[in-house]
Amino acid sequence: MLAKVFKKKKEENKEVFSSNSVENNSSPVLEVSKNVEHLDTPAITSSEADKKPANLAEIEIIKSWLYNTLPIISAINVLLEKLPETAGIIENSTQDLNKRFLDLAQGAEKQASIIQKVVETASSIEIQDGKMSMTDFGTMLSNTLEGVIEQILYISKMALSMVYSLEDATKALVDIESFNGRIQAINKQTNLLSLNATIESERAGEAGKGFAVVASEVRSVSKEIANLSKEMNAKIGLVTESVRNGYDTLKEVATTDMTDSIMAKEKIDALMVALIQQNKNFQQILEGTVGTAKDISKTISATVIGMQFQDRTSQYIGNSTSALNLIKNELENLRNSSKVSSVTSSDASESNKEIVDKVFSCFQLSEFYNNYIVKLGEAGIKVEKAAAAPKSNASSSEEDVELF
Amino acid sequence: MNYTKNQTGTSCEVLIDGKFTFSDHSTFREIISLMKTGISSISLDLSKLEFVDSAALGMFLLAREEAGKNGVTVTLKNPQGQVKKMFSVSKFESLFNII
Repeated sequence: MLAKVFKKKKEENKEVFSSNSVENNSSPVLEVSKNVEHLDTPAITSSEADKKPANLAEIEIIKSWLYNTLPIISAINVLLEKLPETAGIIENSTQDLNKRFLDLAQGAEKQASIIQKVVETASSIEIQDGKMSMTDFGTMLSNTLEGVIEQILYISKMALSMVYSLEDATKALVDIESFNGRIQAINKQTNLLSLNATIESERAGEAGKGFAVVASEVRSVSKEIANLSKEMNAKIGLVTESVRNGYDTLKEVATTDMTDSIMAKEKIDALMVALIQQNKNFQQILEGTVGTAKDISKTISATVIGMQFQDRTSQYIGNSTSALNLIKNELENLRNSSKVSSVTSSDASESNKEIVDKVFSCFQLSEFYNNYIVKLGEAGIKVEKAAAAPKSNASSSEEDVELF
Repeated sequence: MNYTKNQTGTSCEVLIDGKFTFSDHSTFREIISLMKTGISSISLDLSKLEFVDSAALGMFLLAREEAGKNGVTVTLKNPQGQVKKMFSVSKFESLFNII
């Protein structure tokens, strides 16, 4: 297809060139060519060119130079348009990336502070008076239990002491009971003695009358003692019963085995130690996470600083663009100063086509390819869209980007 | 609970074995009353003692009190297993000389 396009072009050129150059074939005088106008270059009148003679071969070389440089200038024009566009893409993408990275850094920082709070919360417990660390709580619990055990031992000791005292009291009561028994026995004998005395006083007659009165008094005293002893016995029985009841109650208290309660302290202590250790482990893990989150934040911040390569890239592209501009301008100046009139017809456009093909093969991306066609058109070189035009476009949308 | 007593001069060694609970209070009272016999030291060998309850701990404390009144030094020897644990939880090491 391209070949066809260029053949057509070549014919057009032939026509244009033949109108002037064929007639002046015999006298090769350099003229400012009107037919170079279609090459998108202003026709300037060079007085020096008018004067200097040029041979045919030289004219052919100049023609070839003019034809060949034109598509190169178009290629430079494509680059001059695309390079700032590239710089713009990089700048926009970098700004977008910067913003996202900053969001990430802020997120990581927020995460770190949340975890820090969790660590603080986990290390203490809220109670009525305020906050208390787990270790303090463990110590407090242990101290409380120690106090409880101390009290258990104190109660146990006191109860046993009472048991021993009541045992002594019971023994004393038994002694008192036996004493009372002896009193009753003695009293019985006294009573018997007074009876004997009464009998003996009767036998003595008048002389024993006073003695009988004494004997009767002794008998009534003995009766009183017997009554008192009976009463005492009853009271002793009551006291003994009370002491026995007290002993039984105390036995209940003292035999309530607190062994399990005492041993519970060991279990609770072990449990507290394990709990505090677990809490510490938990805290360490969380602190590690805080560190990681902070590292992430730092790395992201460093990345954002690293992203300043974009400035340099923009500068490089700017520099390249101005250099290309200079090259283009210089090339155009050279072309303008090379324009001659009365150039003979030749196949100079053939090499023009070759260069166009080379440039096309360089522009792999369709955006460049199509842009080149436009630029060629602006330069007056008509090209139909080639069949070999690349279909693939530059990846610009997010969907096209594959993540590895 | 059973005990055997071995006295040499003013020092007395008592070997206690079995289980020591509230029901042994009368037997242990005999050991407590040894404090008033003019001895200067008493050593309770607990290596054969299998078990103590809270009442037994109370009785040990009473023995200590009685010893203090009479100027007798008490030593608890070789507590094992549950007895050792009970002594440890009750902080007996701060009250008695335990070896």
